[in-house]
Amino acid sequence: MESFAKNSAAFSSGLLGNWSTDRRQVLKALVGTSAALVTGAGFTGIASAQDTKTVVALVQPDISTLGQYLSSALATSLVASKIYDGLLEYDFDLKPKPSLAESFEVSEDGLTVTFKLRPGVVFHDGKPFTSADVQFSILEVLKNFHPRGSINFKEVEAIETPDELTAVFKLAKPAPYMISALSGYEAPMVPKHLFEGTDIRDNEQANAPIGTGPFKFVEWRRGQFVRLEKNENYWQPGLPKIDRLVFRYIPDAGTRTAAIESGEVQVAGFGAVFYSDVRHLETVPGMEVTQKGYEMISPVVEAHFNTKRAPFDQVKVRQAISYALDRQFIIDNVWFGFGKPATGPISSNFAATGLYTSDVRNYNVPDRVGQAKKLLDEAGFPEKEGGIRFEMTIDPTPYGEEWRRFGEYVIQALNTIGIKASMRYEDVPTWLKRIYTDYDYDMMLSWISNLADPVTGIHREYHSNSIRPGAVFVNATQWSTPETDALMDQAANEKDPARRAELYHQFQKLVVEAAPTIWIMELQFSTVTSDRVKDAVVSPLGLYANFAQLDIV
Amino acid sequence: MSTTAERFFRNKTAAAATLVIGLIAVVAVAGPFLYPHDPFAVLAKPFEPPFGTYPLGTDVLGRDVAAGLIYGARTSLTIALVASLAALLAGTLVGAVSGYYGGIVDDVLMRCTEFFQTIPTFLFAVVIVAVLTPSITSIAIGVAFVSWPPVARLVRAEFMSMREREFVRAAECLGAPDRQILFQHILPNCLAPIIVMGSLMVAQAILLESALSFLGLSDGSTFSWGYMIGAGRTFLRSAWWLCTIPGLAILITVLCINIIGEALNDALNPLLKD
Repeated sequence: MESFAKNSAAFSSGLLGNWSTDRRQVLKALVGTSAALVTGAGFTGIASAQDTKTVVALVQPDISTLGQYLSSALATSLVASKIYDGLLEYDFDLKPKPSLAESFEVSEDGLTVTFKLRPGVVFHDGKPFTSADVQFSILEVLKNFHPRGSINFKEVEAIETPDELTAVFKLAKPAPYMISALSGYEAPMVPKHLFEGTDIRDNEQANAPIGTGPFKFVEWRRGQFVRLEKNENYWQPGLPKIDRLVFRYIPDAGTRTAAIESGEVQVAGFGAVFYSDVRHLETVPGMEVTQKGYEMISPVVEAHFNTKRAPFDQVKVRQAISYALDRQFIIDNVWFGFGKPATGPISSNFAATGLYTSDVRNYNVPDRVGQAKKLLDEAGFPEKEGGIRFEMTIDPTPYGEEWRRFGEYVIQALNTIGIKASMRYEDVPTWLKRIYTDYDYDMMLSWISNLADPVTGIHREYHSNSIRPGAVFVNATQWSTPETDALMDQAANEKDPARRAELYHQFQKLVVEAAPTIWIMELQFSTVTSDRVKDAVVSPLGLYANFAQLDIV
Repeated sequence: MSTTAERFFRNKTAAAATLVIGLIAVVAVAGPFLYPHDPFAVLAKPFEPPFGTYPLGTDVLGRDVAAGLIYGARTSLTIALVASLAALLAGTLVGAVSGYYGGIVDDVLMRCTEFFQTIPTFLFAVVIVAVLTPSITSIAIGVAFVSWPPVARLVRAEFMSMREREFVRAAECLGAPDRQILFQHILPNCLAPIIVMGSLMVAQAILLESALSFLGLSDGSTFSWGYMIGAGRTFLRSAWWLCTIPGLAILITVLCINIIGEALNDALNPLLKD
C-alpha cells in the first residue's frame, strides 16, 4: 500500500497528466514491443559473448527515487535493497540471521540491545562501515525520514558506540518488534560521511546511492532502467555471483509478459506480471513461478466499513456483510487463485512466530447467505418491497482492474442478501481524500501489508491513535475500543514471546467479532523467473533481499 | 421528382444500414425483456467460449457476454443520443444567434467556441468526466461538451449566408420578431446539413463513450461496450471473444450510422435530385 501512495502521488498532478502519461505509456509499449522483436534474442547473446553475467529484472511501477531511507515504495525498495545492507537478514521462519551485524544480544530487561558489527566492511566509495554509521542511520535518518522509521525505532533513545564495531541501542521500553525491522529493506545502513551536515531529504544520494551492499549504482535512465555493477569489495567472499544487474521499467502489462517469456527479462515479481499471465507462464517451459519470498510483506485484501456511518455502526450489519462474501470465489475469479482465505487482521504468515490464531469467528461457513440474512433481520433491516433492505456504495481502490472486478462481485454478493449496492470508481487522489480525509464512504476495498511485525503492519489499521484525518493507509474505519488499544499497547512492549502471542490472540478474537473490516484473502504475489536464473528468492523478503546469491547460467 | 425518403432508400447500402441500426435499437430497448438477467450476474464458469451454453460465452467473472452486449447497447446508445441531442441544441442556438446578429455578438460567441475547439477533444472529455465523477450523466455531459463547437460553426455559416436572402429581408420588413425569423424562417432552410452532422455526431459520441470507458471512466453500475473491451484487453491471448465481440458491435454500429449519414447527405442534397 505504501508504494501505492508514492505511486499515486506521482500521478496526483491530476487527470490531465494521468492521461498523457497513459498515451506516452502506450507509445513506449509499442516501441518496446518492436524493439523486443528486433533485439530480443540478440541481447542475451551479446552478454554471454563478453562473458559478463547480466540479469535483467522488471521493476513495476516506475521508480520515483532510489533513496530507500526516505521511501518504502515498492520500486524504490526493489532496486535500492541491492545497494544497501541492513544489520540483519532473516530466514523463512522470520528468525534473524547475521548480516552487517555478526551478532546481537538483548539484555535481561529488554532495554539494551548490543550489536557486534562485522569488521572490514567498506562502503562503495571505500570508506569503512562503523558503529557511527549505525548510530547516524538509525537516529538521524531512518527515525526521522523513513515512513515507518518512527514506529520501528520509537523506543530507541540513544545508540552508544563504545568502539567502531559495537553499537548499543538504549531503549525506553522493550521493543521486540524492532529486531525484525533491521533488514536492508526496512532499515538500510547509510554512510554518515555523505549525509552529515546536509539536508537529508535533498541529498544527492537519493539519485545515486552509496551503500555497503553487493551491487554498486552505475546509471539510472529515468522511465527506462537502472544499471548496477558487482561490488568487487563485498564483505562476503565470492559474492555477488553476477557482474551486472539491470532493472527495467516496461509500462505495458502485455509487453512485460512478452519480455519475460522471450527471455529478454529474467526476473519479475510482485504484480509485474498480471495474475492471469502468471497462470499462462506457469505452463511455459523454461519459466519458474514461485509464491515464496513474500512472507515478510504479507499483503491482505480487505473490505473496510465506515463504522461511524449508519447502518455500518451496527456490529450485526457488518457481520452479515462479512458472511455474504465468498472468499474462495474472489480468490479464484478475481485473483486467479493467487491467495488463500484470510481469517482475521493478522496474516497466517505469522503462524511461524506464534502470533497468528485461526480460533476466531469464522465467516467462511457453508450457510453464509442464511446467516447473513438472519443477522440483517435481527439488526432491523427486513426485506422491503423488491426484496431490498437498504442501499450502499462501494469504493474500490483505483489501483487496477482486479479491484473493479472485485467491486462488481461484491455488488452481486450483496444483492443476494437484499442489499442494493452501487460502485464509485474515481482517480487515486480523489479516492484517498474521500477515504482517509473526508471519511465519506460506506465500504471501501483495499489491501494492506502486514510487514514483519504487527506493530508496524497492523496497529495502524485498528489503533485509536491511527484515526488521523489526512494520513493515508491508517485507520479509515474509525473503529477502536479501549480493550483492543490496550492489547496492542501491551503487545508492542511485551518481551516474552508466549505472552505476546496470547495478547495478539485476544486482539484477533475481539477484532474479528466486531468486524470493522472484512478480511478477504492473503494475497500471494508471484515471482516469475527464467530457469537460467538461480537463487532469486532466498529470504522471506524475496526480491527485496540483496541478490548477492543470484546467479545465471 | 421523388421524396427525400424515396431517394434515401433507393440507396441499398443505406437501407441495409438503417435496418441494422433499427435492430440494434430494438434490442437495446427491448433487450431487458427478451434477455432478463442482469449483465453483472455471475452465472457460470469464467471464460466459457462462445456458442456453448451461452451464445457469446462468459467473461472473467463468469458473466454472460451476450447480456453485457445488450445492456451495453442501451448505455452506449443512450449516452450517444442524449449527448448528440444536447450538443446539437447548444450548437444550433449559439450558431444561429452568432450568424444572424453578427458584429460583437458574433465575435464573443465565436471566441468562446474557438476556446472549446482549441482544447483537444478527448483530453477535455476525460477531464470533465473525471472531475464530475464517472456516471452516465457525467459522461453524457462530457461528450456533449466537446461535440457542440463544430455544430455552432456550421450553423453560423448557414445563417450568415441565409440572412441576406430576400425572404429574410421580407420577413424583417414585415416586422416579424427575431425569434420567428431565426427559428421559423431560417432554421428550416438549414436543417439538411444539421441533420447530416447530427447523425455523424452520434457515431462520434459512441466512439468517445467507448474510449472513455476503455480508460476506466465509466459508470461503475452499468455495462458499456468500451468497458467490456477495456476489461477484456488483459485476456486477449486467452479469451479473444471478450474484446472482439463488443469491438465488432462498436464497429458495426458506427459504420452503419456513418453510412446513414452519408446517404442522408445525398438524399437531402437538392443538386442530386433527379
